[in-house]
Amino acid sequence: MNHPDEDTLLKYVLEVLDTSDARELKGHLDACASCRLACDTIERQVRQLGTVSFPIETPDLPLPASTRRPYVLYVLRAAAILLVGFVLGYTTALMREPEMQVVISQQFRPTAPRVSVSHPLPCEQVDIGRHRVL
Amino acid sequence: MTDWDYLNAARNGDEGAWRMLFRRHYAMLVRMTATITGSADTAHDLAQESFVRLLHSPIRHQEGSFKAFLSRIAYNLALKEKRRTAPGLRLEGQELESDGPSPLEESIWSETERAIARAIQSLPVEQRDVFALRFVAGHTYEEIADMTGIPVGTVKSRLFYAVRTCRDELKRQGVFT
Repeated sequence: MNHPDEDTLLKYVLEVLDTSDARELKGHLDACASCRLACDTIERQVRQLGTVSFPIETPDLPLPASTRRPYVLYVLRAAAILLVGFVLGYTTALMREPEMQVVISQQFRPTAPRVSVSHPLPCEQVDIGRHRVL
Repeated sequence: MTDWDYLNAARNGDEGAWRMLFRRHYAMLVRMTATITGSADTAHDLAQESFVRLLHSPIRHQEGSFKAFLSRIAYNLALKEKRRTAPGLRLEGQELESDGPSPLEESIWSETERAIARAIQSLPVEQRDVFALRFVAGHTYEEIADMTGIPVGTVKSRLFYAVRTCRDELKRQGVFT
């Protein structure tokens, strides 16, 4: 391989040379001290181009207020979860236990005559006229 | 923890995670946008705006390089800013920039670095953008192609011409040998 020109060396340094050309050039650089020196100089200059710096003071940018979650939101969320849990539990209890329906309906109607739950009746056998089911 | 984790924590109100992201990427964003716009003050504004936008970006974008994602936001803002302040849009009677040092140059201490900054600022816009994304922000050619919407081959060729022009100019001034 002939000695490469500056543009080829620059392309090599920038890693924009084709793979096969880069491989061939690398072989030449390993063997040719003057080209290696020229390549090192270009590499140093390219690095220097990318390191222009000016003093940067990182300011203290507070987290925008819209992303801060106020504690009242947590409280409201907890209250909503508790409310939903209570409603779900209450409804489930009413639907699953017929005898409970009677007991609960009596508890909510203190004037209605009490029904013994020692021999609970299935829901459909309860006299609706006397013991209203909720 | 990855930067994406820090971002999600910040979204949930974690001030510490927010500061961590800021410390890690702020300087890079400022350097990159300063190189593109030529103004250090504008660069600070754009970097801060990028962080705010980052916070509200859709979560579905959370894959791949966080830095590339953040840079893309800053790059788009810088392009918008450049368009806004383009010479063609100047109000009548408004003075054009003088030949003196730009605000960016004035903020650079070293004389050699000033010369380099001047050479970079004199590049054609499309070459300067690629230069900033490659050398200042440290992105791969593929990431730059993705961000700018140009083919990888074009990115490489623009970078080559950008560096060659800068080297030639700095050699002419005696800064480079």
